[in-house]
Amino acid sequence: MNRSKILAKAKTWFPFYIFMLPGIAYLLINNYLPMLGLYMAFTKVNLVDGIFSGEFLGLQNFKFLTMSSDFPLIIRNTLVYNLIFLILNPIVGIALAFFMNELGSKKILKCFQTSLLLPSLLSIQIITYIVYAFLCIDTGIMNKTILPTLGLDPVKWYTTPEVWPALLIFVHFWMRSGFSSVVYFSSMLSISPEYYEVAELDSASKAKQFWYITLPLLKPTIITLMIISLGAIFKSDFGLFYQVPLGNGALYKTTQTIDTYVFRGLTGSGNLGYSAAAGFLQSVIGFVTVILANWVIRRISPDDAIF
Amino acid sequence: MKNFVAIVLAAFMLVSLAACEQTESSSPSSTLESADSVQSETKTVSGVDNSEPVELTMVIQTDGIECADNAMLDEAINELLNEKLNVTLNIKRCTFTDTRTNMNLWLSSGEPCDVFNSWFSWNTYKDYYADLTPYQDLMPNALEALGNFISNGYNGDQLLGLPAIKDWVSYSCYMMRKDIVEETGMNPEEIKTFADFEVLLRKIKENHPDMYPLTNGTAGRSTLFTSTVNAREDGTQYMTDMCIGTGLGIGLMDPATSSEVSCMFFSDFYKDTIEMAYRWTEEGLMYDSSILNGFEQVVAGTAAGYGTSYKPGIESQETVSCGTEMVAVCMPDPKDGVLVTNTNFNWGVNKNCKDPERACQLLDLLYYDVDLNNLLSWGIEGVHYIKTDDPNIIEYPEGIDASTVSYYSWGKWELPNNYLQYVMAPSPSNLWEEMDEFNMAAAPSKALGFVFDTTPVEGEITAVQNVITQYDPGLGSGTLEPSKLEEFQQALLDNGVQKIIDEAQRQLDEFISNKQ
Amino acid sequence: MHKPKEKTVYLAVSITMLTICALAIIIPIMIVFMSSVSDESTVIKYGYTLWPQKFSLEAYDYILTRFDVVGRAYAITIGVTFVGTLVSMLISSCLAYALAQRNLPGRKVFMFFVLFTMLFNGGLIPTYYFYTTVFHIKNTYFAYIVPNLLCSAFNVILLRNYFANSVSPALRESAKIDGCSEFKIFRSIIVPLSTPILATIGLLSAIAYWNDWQNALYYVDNAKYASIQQVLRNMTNNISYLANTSSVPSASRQVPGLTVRMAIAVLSMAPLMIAFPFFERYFVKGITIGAVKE
Repeated sequence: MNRSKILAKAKTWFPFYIFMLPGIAYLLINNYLPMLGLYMAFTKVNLVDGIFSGEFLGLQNFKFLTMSSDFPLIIRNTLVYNLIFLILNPIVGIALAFFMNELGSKKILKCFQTSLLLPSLLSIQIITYIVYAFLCIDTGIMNKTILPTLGLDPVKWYTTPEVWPALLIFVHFWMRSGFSSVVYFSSMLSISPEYYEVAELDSASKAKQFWYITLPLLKPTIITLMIISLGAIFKSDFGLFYQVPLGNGALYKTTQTIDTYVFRGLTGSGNLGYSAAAGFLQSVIGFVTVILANWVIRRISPDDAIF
Repeated sequence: MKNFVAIVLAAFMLVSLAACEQTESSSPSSTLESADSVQSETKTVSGVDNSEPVELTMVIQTDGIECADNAMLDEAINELLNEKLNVTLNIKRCTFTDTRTNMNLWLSSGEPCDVFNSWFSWNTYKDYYADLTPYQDLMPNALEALGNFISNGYNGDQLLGLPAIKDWVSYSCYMMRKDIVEETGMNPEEIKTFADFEVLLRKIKENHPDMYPLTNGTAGRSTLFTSTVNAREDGTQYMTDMCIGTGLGIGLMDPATSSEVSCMFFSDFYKDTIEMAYRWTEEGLMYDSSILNGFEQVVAGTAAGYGTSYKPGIESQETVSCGTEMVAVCMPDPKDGVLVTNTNFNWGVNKNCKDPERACQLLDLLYYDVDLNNLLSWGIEGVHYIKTDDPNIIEYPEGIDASTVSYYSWGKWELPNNYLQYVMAPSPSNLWEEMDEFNMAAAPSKALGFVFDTTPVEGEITAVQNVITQYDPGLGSGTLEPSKLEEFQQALLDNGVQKIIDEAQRQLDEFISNKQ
Repeated sequence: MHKPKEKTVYLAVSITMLTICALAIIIPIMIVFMSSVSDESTVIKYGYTLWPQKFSLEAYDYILTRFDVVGRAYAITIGVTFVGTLVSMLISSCLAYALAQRNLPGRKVFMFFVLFTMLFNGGLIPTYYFYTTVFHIKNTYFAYIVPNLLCSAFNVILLRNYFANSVSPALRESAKIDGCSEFKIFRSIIVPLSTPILATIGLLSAIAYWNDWQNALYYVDNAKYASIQQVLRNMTNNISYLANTSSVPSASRQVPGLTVRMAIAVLSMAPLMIAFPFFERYFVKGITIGAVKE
């Protein structure tokens, strides 16, 4: 490549680097600089001496996670819930977006969208109270109204671990599906109506249109969101898994995840090295998973890989 | 000269440490006699030059609700401190729910927090405190007010913190609605065992079938104090000392006479209690709520009583919250209260404080100055409270009550010396005398002053703590079948509870032999 | 022939499904609202109900007596949400637009740079350390807006996908030939074509700013300048803390009752319900643009 070509190229792309500058600078300051603090995961933290001057311990902090006899159970819960969310998230989000797209009337659309988004404005404490309003043993709506109407016996919800997988999944979607449906909906709006018009001329059914037009055009969004969720495969929503079941230990079997384990174990000692180690481990596993997933996708359909 | 004083004081410390061994401890409350006369007797401190103005920062906890008059108070406090110590005090008010996080942040970035308390995490925070041993001669009044109890502020031979003077005795009780207890014809003072108590609860249930006779005090906490009491053969109860960690159920089961460390969850008393709790819950005698406090349930009329920790004056305090007269059923006899290591709550000076001498002077003032303490706890006289004929008792000014007053301190109880605070009517005038008597009457635990260093077994503690949260709340509240106890105990063993006990025993033995 | 019929069937199914979902959300929220206007004792005694058993405005009274605190906090949060959302949209969409250029040299590296921030974070303590000791944002207006919320990798990636897949590169090329600068192209061609995604990102970041309590709590010392979520959180959070920490005495009885907590939830939702139509306009505009194009 000769000089003038390089210059021309630089001239073409220079404005785009200016576009990027504020965002990249912000991420450097807000995200990359504090990552130096991950060093705490390998030390005995003493805050007064400074976060980088703790005694170096190597991998010692990481051992505490494996010390529990319930280690396999904790890992299983964390992974299985995340996998379920991973698969159901796009299905629920796209379904809702699809229904919204069918409405046509803007007023009705507005009503539905507002109501679906309401839960994302509620703090986790309030969601906890709402769940409690339904599940409380003696005054809860389930035991007092719904189950008797159906002719069923009351259930001791907060001490029956078996019902919680379904409950947690329900609450998760109750809280989050409005959010993801908005994302999918805006992607759907970007699909040019021409595609559908052509399909109509060929008298393709709605189902076919969805399958052959909408879904393929949503594919990049779906893949991106999935890869992002894979990054959190080892993390869990503390509010959902701890506060919604009222931190009840009797539900441990189906509600204990890595984050709740760390919380329950460290409320007394507050060992910052341990919590940093747990966070670091969660990130590393998420990172490896994302790299793998991206690699696989690049093999199958290079355009959809996100980096 | 200064060194000489320090040596004398160090000698005094040694003597008082030894004195700890004896059952009779000297009263820490010479300040009690008459709050006003103390100031005139105040020991003057020489040797520190106060001519330079100094700015210090102190951290206190609040419930996060901003009081309209905080700024006014800060001004009044600073006026007082400027005059007495030439100190300008910057008060950082910190929501108690976020204390630990905020403290960690401040400490990590070296922000000033010169005088702060350990907020129940002595073990974590003790490394952040400056050694006050060299400054003891600057705090004569604080040391005198604390007496023997200063030993709780020591870590090895370093004085790292000063314990707050408040209720020191670990002791629990059950608050019951007086009218409902009277209906049963039983005398609450005669109830000394769970068997007696069960009779009372049953009678209440008979009279009021739509009510739970007993519930939890604080939302989410167990009603029964399974892990802090133990019982003799006749069923009468006494307090244990969970010196290794309340959450772990590990400590001294008979703290007044034996220094043997064991785990509560393997005791017979625990087994009996959880069986009883299960029975009570099945029969509707007891109910644990995760989101409601005991007093809220009493106000709503769904419960007749709840479990709470005892301190003198509790009856009038709870009567106010419940809106109906309450009476305490004290199950461990008050004489069976135990003076425990309250090292979780100490005041100290930050290692990075630029002027520790002046900070120590401030601490000293906080331990004896009546005006300063009442400014912090009640506000300004005539604005936030008024005095009554009784010199100890205060009231709210006309037209103002606890919910409308424009300054209040959530953390009154955590201020260095509670005994200096006025008493708000209708609490009894002799509240602090009673508190002091209560503190002094209790037998000191063998582990008094001991701080468990968790470092060697932290991984095990994390695992064991998780096991306990899995079983204990359910078993203790009677919602989990007692048959699960074996599973619980096995899980504790699998996760290394024995290693924690052994380590604790080793450290405690060493502590005791060093003391002798 | 069958077309209109099919359309009606889909419309009917859509409305039914959405109605079920909306009811599943609205009924619980109605319960929150109704218990906020109920008498405290009856709520404790009989549980939450869809209609108040005994009507009472005591909870709102309680909050109104603290109006100076609540009102100030509202004002702060509304200001922060407004400014923060605008700045955040600007920074994120510029970054995303550059990343959407398929041939940009180093695109993959920058993409990875952005994505990596979703996987690793230093945690609260180091973040605070650098913001306060290096950038000194403590107790400034930046404290509300800058930490963590200004540019999220998630939003950048969503925007990039939209720009890359839904805005035709041909448009840019032709504008380029007409002599437009890149900045002008972005402003007058790309932005107007991207209203649906910009509205989405705006909404998501407005929700994030509205719900944020951490920045004000950690980076602003004076509780006088608390954000609304922080005030609300302080009023509701104390109970769960007391439950988890056995050593703190329950001496404090300032914790407001159940109905107050519910009233707080209602008040924290209300402003977004008012602001929502503003974003909604842009969604609708997105639809119109699509329809007119043909």
